[in-house]
Amino acid sequence: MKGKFHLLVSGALLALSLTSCMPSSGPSVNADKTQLYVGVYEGGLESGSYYKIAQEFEAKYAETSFEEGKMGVQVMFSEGRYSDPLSETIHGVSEEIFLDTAASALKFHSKDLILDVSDLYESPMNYDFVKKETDPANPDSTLFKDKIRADRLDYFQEDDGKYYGVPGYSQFFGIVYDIDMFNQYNLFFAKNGGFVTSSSDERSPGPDGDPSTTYDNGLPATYDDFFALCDKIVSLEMTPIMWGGTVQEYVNSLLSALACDFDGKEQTELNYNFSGTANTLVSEVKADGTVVYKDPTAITASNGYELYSQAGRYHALSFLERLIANKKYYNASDCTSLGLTNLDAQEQFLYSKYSSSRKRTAMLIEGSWWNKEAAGVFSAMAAEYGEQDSQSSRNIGLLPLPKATAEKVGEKFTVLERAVGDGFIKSSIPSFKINLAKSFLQYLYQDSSSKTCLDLDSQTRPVEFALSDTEYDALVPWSKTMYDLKKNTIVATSFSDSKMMRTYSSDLWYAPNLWNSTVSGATYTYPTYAMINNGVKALPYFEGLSTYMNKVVWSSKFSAAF
Amino acid sequence: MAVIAPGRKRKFNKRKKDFLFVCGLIALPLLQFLIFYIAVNVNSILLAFKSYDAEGNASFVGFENFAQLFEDFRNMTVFATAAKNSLIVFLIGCPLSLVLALAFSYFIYDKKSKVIDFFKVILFLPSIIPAIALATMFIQMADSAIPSFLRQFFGDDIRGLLQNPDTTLGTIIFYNVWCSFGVNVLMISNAMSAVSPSLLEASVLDGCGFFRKFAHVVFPEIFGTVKTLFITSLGGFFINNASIVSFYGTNAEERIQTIGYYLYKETILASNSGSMAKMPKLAALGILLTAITVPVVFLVRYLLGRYGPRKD
Repeated sequence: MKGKFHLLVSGALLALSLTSCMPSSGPSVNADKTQLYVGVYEGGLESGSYYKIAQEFEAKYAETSFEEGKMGVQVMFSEGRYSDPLSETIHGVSEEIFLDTAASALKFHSKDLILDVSDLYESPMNYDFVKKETDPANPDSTLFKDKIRADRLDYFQEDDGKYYGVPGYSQFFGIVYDIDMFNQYNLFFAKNGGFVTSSSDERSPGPDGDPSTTYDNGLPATYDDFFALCDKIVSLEMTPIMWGGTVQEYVNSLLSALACDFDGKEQTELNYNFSGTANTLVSEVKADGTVVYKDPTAITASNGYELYSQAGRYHALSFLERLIANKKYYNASDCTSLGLTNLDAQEQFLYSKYSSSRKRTAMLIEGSWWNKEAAGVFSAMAAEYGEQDSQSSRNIGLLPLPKATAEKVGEKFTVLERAVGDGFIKSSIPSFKINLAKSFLQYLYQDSSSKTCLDLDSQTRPVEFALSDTEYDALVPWSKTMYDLKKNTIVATSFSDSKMMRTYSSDLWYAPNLWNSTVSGATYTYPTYAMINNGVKALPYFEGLSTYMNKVVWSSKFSAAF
Repeated sequence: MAVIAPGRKRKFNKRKKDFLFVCGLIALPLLQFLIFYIAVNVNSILLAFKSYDAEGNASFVGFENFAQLFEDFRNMTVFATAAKNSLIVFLIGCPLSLVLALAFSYFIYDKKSKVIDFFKVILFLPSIIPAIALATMFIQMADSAIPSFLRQFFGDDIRGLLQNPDTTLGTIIFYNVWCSFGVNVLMISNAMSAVSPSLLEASVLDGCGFFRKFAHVVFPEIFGTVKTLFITSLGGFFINNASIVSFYGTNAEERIQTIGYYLYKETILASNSGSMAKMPKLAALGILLTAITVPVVFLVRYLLGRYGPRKD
């Protein structure tokens, strides 16, 4: 009896361990088709659009055989946190194509792990890699490489002239704002000064100074405007802005975005390519706040520390100092609490519309992918309060950042693109699938696919495509904001193929590493903590950036890439 | 020609089989030890003398990483801050944890109540709940529940124990003491249960009270266990991340970092970067810290053995 019992228990444990080894979900393999395995980065980006694009792709090749005894293709998706350590296991995993990863295609190429996709770049969009002929049904004869934004094209092209990866979704940080709330409480600036008094009032031209670009009309043009807006929100017994207490790096990223908008694309990208002349280095900040610039300085990898005195950083810190100084602008307890994650902050931001225990909040510091992370909250709110609170109805946008000074008003908004998102095909993909994989990547970058990605996932890639007015009007609000930014902004990218970025990329673009400052012998990682907890002001914090990242420390950290 | 008697042959075969059996038994753990301990440590030592370029090619650079490290000690505040925090965590956390565990263990040992076993299980819970789940619960308690409760009495300015810079390090020390309490109680109470009852009986007959019995009989008997707990804590001085990882991940402010946390964080970030460039200096730091720890541990162990309480 005892023996039988042991046998039963052992059998049950064995069954349990075997079932735990099985794939947990996803469609089963169709043995009559050829499988193409695609790994997509698991994060807030979502991949709903990929399933739709894959269905279309499968339909396109439904009558094509890729291997003996099989007809058609089945695209199998899996999600994972694909990053640089993938290089150790890439040939052992089932995925053959990787999209939107946190891994560096250039690093993977240096280890011969990924496929040369130059013929994809050099071919027109209507060339069919599978049939090896031009597709008569597709009128788009643009070369693949002509669709990709020039700076990202340079990034993927190696010294041998070949291309080894494709760009993923563009991601950036900023300030999310509740458009419905702005409309309801007349929080837009009027054309003739002050705030609008009704929705029919004409709005100010916004930070770009151009009334024809309506996406920023009525929004604060300068830091002064922004804080005037905050004062108005406070006067309405509401909270202007919030962020998750566990993600102080989001504020660091916002500061980088503010600095980027001030310094501009060329000066910002010096922080990644370390090649060019710095024109915005600060030699002195006068008592009245006037910034005195150094003479233009040639920047190379060995003197990259000089960039820690770029004027954009000072202005960004001044913005934060003004924000932190008024405790009515934010809830200090929430914004420094380890109990409030970015997801909690999203929920509180959305639910503040109805909360009786929390003041309604107008803005949230977040990344461009936040809406997908908050999809569950939108659904719950729609179920509780009705369709007007669903993701497709609630009007929420990304605030074009205000300008530091009045002289800057009229310049286009420069956004800072994060250095994540590379896609590639692994070199060990079976040879009979190579053209199929290239064909899939090509399909993913067609105009129709770009529109699907924008429509379903509110994401854009650094590729050229345009929407008609009808297509634009059909988008959900967050997709509209993403398209507006794509159309109206200059993108400064953190992607660079410089030796420095190849060796130390996360040290150079990841926000927690960029705002270290030594002030009075103490080093701070987060300006928020320094200002909230220790009362540190913008100027000493700014000077402390160069104290921390001095020549000796810079050399000690990065000399291998000089 | 020598002839082996059948009995001796059987014995020889049995010896051979036994030898093969023992070899088979220890082969796998030995291999594991050779690869994952010896090879890893040898590699780590070699790493301290290498440098990697952007393409991942290594070259030997002698003591250059050590020289750079000393340069960093002079130029970066993190090392002094982390060393100070490691010292505070050790000097407060370790004695407090041991004293509390000793007091509680002796109390339950002396009372011999059955309810005590229940408390032992409860106290041991922090050690068996996954660290990240426990930290999450603790964060909610420290940064949400407690301030919410206190705000009812003292107004809106009350902040959480972890978010308030004045209480952060103290709260982290408390959390570590709390977490190690269960294990220490288990170890010490087990050691106490091995104390000879006749010895205790004799001490009672000699008129020893609650405290004298502890000081003159129980503590000397269990001193070996207490010494071991202390020595292991001391040995882990530079690798103790004080659970900061559970609270902050790799994003803790410098003011609360310990050396153990700094090493852990930098190693994780370096691994995730996919580049070996930062590893050699970390390996050099590891060797340097080992060079400090080893003699200190041996000295303290010697001193405790020489001057600590004896059973006789």
